[in-house]
Amino acid sequence: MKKMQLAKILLPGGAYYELKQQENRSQSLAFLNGTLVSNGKSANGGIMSRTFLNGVWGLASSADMSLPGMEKVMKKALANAELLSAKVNKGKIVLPCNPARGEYLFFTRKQPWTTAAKIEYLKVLDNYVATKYPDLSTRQVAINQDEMEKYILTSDGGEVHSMTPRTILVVVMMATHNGEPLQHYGVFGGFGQFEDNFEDPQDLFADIDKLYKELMDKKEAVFAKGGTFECVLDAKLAGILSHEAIGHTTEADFVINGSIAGEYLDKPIANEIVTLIDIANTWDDKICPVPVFIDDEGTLAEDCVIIKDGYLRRYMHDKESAQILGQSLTGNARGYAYSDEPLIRMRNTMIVPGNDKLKDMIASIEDGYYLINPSNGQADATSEFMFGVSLGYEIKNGVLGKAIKETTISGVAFDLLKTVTMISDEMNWTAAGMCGKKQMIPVGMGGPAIKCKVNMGGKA
Amino acid sequence: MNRHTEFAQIIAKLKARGAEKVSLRVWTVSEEEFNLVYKELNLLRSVEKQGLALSVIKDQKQARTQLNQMDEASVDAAIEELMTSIESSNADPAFDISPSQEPATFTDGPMQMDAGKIVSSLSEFADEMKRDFPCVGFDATLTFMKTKDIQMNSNGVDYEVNKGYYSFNTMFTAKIGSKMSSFNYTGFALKDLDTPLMEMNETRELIRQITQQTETKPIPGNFKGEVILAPFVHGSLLVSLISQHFGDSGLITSSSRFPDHLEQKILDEKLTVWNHPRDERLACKEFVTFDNFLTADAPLIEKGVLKHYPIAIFTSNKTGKARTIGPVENLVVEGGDTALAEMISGVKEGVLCMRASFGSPNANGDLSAVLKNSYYIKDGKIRFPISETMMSVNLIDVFNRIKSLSREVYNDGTNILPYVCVMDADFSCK
Repeated sequence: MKKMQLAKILLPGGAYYELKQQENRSQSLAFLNGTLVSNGKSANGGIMSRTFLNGVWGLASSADMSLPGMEKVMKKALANAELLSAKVNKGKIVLPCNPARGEYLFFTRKQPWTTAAKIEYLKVLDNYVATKYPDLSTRQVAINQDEMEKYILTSDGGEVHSMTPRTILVVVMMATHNGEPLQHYGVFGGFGQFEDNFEDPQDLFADIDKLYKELMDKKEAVFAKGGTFECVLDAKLAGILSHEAIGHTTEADFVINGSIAGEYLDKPIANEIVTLIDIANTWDDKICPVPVFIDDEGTLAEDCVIIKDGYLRRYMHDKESAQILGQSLTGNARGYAYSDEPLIRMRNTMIVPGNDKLKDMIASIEDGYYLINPSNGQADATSEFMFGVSLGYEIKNGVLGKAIKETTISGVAFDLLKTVTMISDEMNWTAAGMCGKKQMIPVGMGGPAIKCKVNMGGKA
Repeated sequence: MNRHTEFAQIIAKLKARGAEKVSLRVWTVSEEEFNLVYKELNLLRSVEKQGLALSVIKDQKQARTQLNQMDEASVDAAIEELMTSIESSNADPAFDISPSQEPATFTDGPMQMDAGKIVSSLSEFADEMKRDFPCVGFDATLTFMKTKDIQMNSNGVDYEVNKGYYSFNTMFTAKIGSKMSSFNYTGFALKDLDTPLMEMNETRELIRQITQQTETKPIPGNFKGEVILAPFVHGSLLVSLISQHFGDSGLITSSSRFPDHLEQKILDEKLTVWNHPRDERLACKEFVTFDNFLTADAPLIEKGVLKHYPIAIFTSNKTGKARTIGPVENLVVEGGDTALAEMISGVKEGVLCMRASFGSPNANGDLSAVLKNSYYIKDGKIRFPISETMMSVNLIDVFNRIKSLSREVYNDGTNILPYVCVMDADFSCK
């Protein structure tokens, strides 16, 4: 993306406004049973201006990435704000600010691979699966690389130019057992361009073998029993719990609209061993899956410690929610496309690892489940959640038993967190998540494994 | 220069670079989106979008690209990259584009926004919410959408579709004292704004229900019983069923349970599902499928019998099945002759499911759902709103165990669906 000279048209003083130039790029390559069914690229770029006037917002956007184009959308955004302001005049409201300036461009430093080389990489993986596991009825190997490049200027002094890439490789295996289809998949990669995530296809062979073994385990899978059980949620499930069940309830726009978390600030809501953070960009000296250094309102992005030692301590904010609730900014405002307004979005939400070993956690359960892979997740303003579980095992007398058929778990997160009794010492990030809240947006989720009580969906 | 001539030149350039078959799609979208945030008018968002998608076949290899900067230099660069990229693809005889068809232009819905009416409709909705349901927190958007979509290909296909419609969405939660409900939401597309938003579909009823749902109870115990699925719930299940077992995804991945079942009765005979893309009742009609054929009205399921596989060209060629109606765009399920109230009174023990939280059913159709905004029914009467209840069903069983379909139907502008009462669902509680 050729960066525009937006500073030339930034007008100091007056109403608060933002100017944004953005381009989202993606590449998709997918083999299905040996045929390259997807070989595509896309690029969507444009400009946006958003103005805050007397308590209301006007926004306009266009695909025309030129300075005259930007001047036109600035005028339109102001006209939109004036139109609404005439209907709902809230008087002069000053939005809080904590502006920052910076450039965060995560282009690979390695030699970029050609499309042909990436296809060849996938072909090696596909051949490996096809040759080693000829009993599969269907196999898919796919890569999606996304890049989000933004240049944002705000009238209160914020300025950021960022390029945030992520590359996800998915392997899907299907088999038939007793006339019924079985499916399993693995997701690899994360933050960075293709070259930063993948090098030699042989590096993934062991993961593919593990995936196949887990698929075969599903042949003997049993229905989970319905009801409440002690379970170990592996890191991927703990991550989705952090995001869906706790994170969303503590987004300040949900709080203003009545989320249950509004009742709990500075109150104990979890076992004291639980600390949960929405990380802005870096954890343990490593860049997180979706690093945000300065948000789309030009605000310095800070870690938001939502739960500290079992107490709810903080909500995630954009400028407007921070002004309404009189709390400090966190830098959580992000928009997905050039035409989107920033919304309060999580970045990298995680439970802080503890001191327990996974094997000890499993050994401590008499009758329960070890739940490993989530398939999807949703949560509610009450913190009631549901997650699909695509891979899990019974635990009988402290030992792993049979695999369970795909099921759903549920609970009330603020109740569940009180039942957490053990937290493992490992940390794993899931980097493939897309979160839907008016707009879709990439998010990171992470955590250790946790032992807690969960409602299992199953036969009555 | 005429835009159609310009697009034809893009196809010609690709053919000159060696492409044997080319499909092109160009679209523009303008949106005026009025937002209520925290119960007040808060944001007016004007969006202008455009895009160009190119798909080419050469030596039976396929590649695609999509861009939204449509100046000559950007398009030429995209063509160059596309024709380089296709060399690395592998060949499959199933890749193809649609054959020559008569050019056609379609125009549907309002082409001009009535901004004054949008503001007055949305303000009226906000005022009614605050007056009639003061304990309910809500956001809402009312949008005017105007789209132009041109689809052409190197076989001579040339379609243009111009559409205009309004779109309403709201999300709401009740809070009484320190107790709160789950959130719920509704949304639909509209041809005009003549009817108050609160009185359309079941908006007022859904909001009335949410005010009851700050006090919920678990079901008395685990049981097997009947479930009445609200239209928006059973619609989601129906879309999953079609995709996994009759559509491109199910057939191409060999995961369909019904791969060779045309003209066979595979679902309950009370179920008839139409692909009705041009139904006059719909605000958001579809005239052309994504694989460049005109849409067609036809039954997909008729009295439980599978009448068509709704598949696109590639799947058709790959599986050897005929492409007939193409991918389905708008579903219309014929309602029954039972009123919802009668349906409820006929349930000995069960649940009225107004929202369900679930993921994709697994490959054999099993799924568990957390029931939201839902009610326990005992001896024909709604007893109380429920909490922390899960329902386990099999997707195929759901559509094989239909007890009745409601007379009332819900028209969200793209689909028309009734309530469905289904037998033998498993319910479990905490």
